[in-house]
Amino acid sequence: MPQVGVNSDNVYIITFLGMVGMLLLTLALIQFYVRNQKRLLRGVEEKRQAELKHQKDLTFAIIQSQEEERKRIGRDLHDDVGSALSNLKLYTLQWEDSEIVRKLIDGIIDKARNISHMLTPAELELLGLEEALEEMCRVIHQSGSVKVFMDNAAGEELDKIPYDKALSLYRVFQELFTNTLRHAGATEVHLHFDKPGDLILAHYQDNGRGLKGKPSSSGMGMQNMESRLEMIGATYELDTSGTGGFGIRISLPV
Amino acid sequence: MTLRHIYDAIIVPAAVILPLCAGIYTWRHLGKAEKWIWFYLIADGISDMVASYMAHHGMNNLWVSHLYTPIEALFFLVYYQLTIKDILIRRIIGVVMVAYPLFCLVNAFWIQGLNLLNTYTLYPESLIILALGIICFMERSDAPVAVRGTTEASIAWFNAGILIYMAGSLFYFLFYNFFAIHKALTHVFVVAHSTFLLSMYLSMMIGFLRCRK
Repeated sequence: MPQVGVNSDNVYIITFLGMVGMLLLTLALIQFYVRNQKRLLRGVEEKRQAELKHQKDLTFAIIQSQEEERKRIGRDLHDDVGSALSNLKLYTLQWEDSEIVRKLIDGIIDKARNISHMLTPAELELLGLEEALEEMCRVIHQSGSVKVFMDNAAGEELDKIPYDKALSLYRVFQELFTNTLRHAGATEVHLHFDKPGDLILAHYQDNGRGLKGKPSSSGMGMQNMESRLEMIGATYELDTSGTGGFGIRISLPV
Repeated sequence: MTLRHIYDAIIVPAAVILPLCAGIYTWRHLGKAEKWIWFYLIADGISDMVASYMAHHGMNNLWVSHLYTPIEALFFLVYYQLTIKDILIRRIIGVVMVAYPLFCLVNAFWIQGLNLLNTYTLYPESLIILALGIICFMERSDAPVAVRGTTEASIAWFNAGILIYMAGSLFYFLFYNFFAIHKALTHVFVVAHSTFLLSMYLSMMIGFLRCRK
């Protein structure tokens, strides 16, 4: 009888161990599966990040080559076409009753200069970002479409921004002004700069229609701005303080 | 009524409501395979209720297990036939779907009879389902669940629940009739079996809820 008792106990223990063993094996399998899934997900995420980075690099390269091309066209327009038109104007001085022709040529020269200026803002390279922006604001203000008020509390810090970054900022404001003039129906634009700590803060605000629920990154213009800001390490947030119109705050670390 | 009885006979069988409710909540997102699991839970709940009713009235309920085992196996086999992609395995499942119920029939009337628990059929069922569960996981080890579609995450949860239940209960099924004769420590295994069943229900509940994401 004691022998039977010992055997019975052993079977219970063996069964229990068998159950535990099978359970552990299954849990190990599930754990292996979960870890494998995590590894695969990490791989997919890394690949996605790499693709994203590649796409960003491509965008930056496109923007840079676009700037190079603009610079070249602007220079050619100013140097070649501008001087050719000036020569033509001098040539017409020999004619009698050439007043109308000269006026036409003057108009073409002005237009060529403006286009050249839009393509490569000479002030930016010669005088710095503050002057270049003031010039842009002045031109837009004088066009009579909107009143532009620029206020620079950052002082000379704006002009210390390296040329590449300054050019990107300049293009962003150019795009913002274009959007305001084309779509916003605004009458006023305020542009304010400040420098708290190691940041240059820019606040652009118009009194137009605003985004009205449109996603912030819709449209090529907005995407272009995002890319340019990202390229120089700047961040932005849309101003939703409820005053109406479109507003954007840009922070650039210096 | 002891605490163990409340756990084994009321809490765990009643817990089948959790995955069933989760399945109803996400019904329109469920695929064919997930709906099979939901219907399996209905069959499981009914068999539990019938077995409990008969046990409560002192009637022999072992035939319920003889009848329910091939039905349960068919639900799982159809589920794996819908989720496993390997054609050869699916063909083998098709053969098992015919052969296994026949074996259950033979066992019920000519081998173990209706007065013993059908351990000879429960054990192979567990082995077959375990093998299919492992194959199901292996097939899905080449790509992350997140990029496969919404029902794939739920398949992983269903599969994990089924594997835990079948693997944990494998030895319990094998030795049940021995435990029935030698009563000592039997309740430990019954509680363990109930816990594995509960974990499967909870896993399936999560599986159903994952279907809507």
